[in-house]
Amino acid sequence: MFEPDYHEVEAEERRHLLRSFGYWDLVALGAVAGAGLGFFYGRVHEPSGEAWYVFAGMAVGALCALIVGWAKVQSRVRERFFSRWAAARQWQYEAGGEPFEDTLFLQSGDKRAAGDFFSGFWPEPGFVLYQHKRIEKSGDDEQVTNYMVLHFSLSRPLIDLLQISPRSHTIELGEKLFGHLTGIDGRIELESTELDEHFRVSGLRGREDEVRRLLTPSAIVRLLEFQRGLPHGNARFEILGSTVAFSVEKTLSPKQPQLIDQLLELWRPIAVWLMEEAGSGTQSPADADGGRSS
Amino acid sequence: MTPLYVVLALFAVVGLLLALSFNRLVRLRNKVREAWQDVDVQLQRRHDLIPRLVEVVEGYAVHERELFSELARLRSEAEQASGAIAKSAPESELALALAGAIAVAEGYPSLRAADNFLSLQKEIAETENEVAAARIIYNGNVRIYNTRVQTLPVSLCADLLGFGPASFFQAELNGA
Repeated sequence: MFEPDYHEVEAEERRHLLRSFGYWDLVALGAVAGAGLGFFYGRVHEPSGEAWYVFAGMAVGALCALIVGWAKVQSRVRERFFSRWAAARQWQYEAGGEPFEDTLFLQSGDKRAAGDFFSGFWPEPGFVLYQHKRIEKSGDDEQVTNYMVLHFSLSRPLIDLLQISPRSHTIELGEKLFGHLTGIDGRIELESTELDEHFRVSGLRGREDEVRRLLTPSAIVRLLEFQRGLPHGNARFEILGSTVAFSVEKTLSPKQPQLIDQLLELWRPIAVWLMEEAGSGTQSPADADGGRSS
Repeated sequence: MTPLYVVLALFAVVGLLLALSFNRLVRLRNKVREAWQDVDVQLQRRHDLIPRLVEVVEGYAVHERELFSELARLRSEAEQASGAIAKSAPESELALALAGAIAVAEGYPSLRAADNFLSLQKEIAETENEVAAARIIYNGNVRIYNTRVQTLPVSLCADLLGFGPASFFQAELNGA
């Protein structure tokens, strides 16, 4: 298996850009446009120093064009690198697409975006690993949080709702105060102290027994092993009927594609266990795509 | 009056800390007990499988009567023991004997192909996994509880409040 080197791909793209006829045209055009704007600006504000404004505008225009080119190289490098990296492993890769929005967590945030979709990494169909972006607006500002998400659908519904999320004292307080207004109950305490220290397990009110039946000792041990493998990952597991989404708060970088292998290795035992519980494999990719927003 | 207020405030703070420590210790001790109940449930599942295994294998392996009686003896010993320390040794021996019995049974081709043996073998493997997992959870809870009980400042008042260290369950589970 020959895997591409990120720096080689980047150098190749940079060479490609510098040799392309259109790029230098763009830089020249930027310089001319900047000079023109500088000329008019200088004429209005300081007629005696027009020449300086022309030169400054030229420099700024050219610089803007160079920056646009650099940004374009970076985005193309990311796509090229992941395409080749996935192809080397006989996986499929899509640079862009709509995010999945079929679980409560994947629906959260004011806006959502997605990218870097990988599939075909396991023999069973229907598994998609991608970068999910949750965007929260605060006035004019936008806060983007990146998650790596493994999404798949089981062959039959396993449980109406199960959420295993990182422990948050703020959320727990909010649930105590307003939990009765929602259908989701507060924490379901399982027998493991260590699990309770890291995760908040919750399900539908009055259906705690279903959660307890599913989370057997060996299931709890699998979750703890995941936590030990990725102690600062803010891991989250959601099952909504037959839809499953695992997520961790991580940003995927082409410079460190090993993150994908690490996550898949840690998620695999939990996914296998859920498939066994559901009785068979996952749904086909076409069915699994149903949860993506359009 | 000021020194009196200071003393009262100190008593109040110490009392609050004691109450919080006590509540935390009670929660941790309950978790240890809950996890032990889980271990017990899984061990009982293992015990219940032994007569079924004997019943299935007996028909095919008539020369293994000694093995079956040994299994029955170990099962009875394990059932009579109670508590993590007392159960450790007999459960460990029972697990090894059970693994040995499965290995012996696999030596009989007709038995190896029998559906009821295969499903029982699967059930035993699943139960052993659950026993191992329940033991990991129990020992994890004991470790957290004991650390709390044996470290300052709780260790100063743990005995006073009636909290002693809990015992680990050290069974050897099929080579685990």
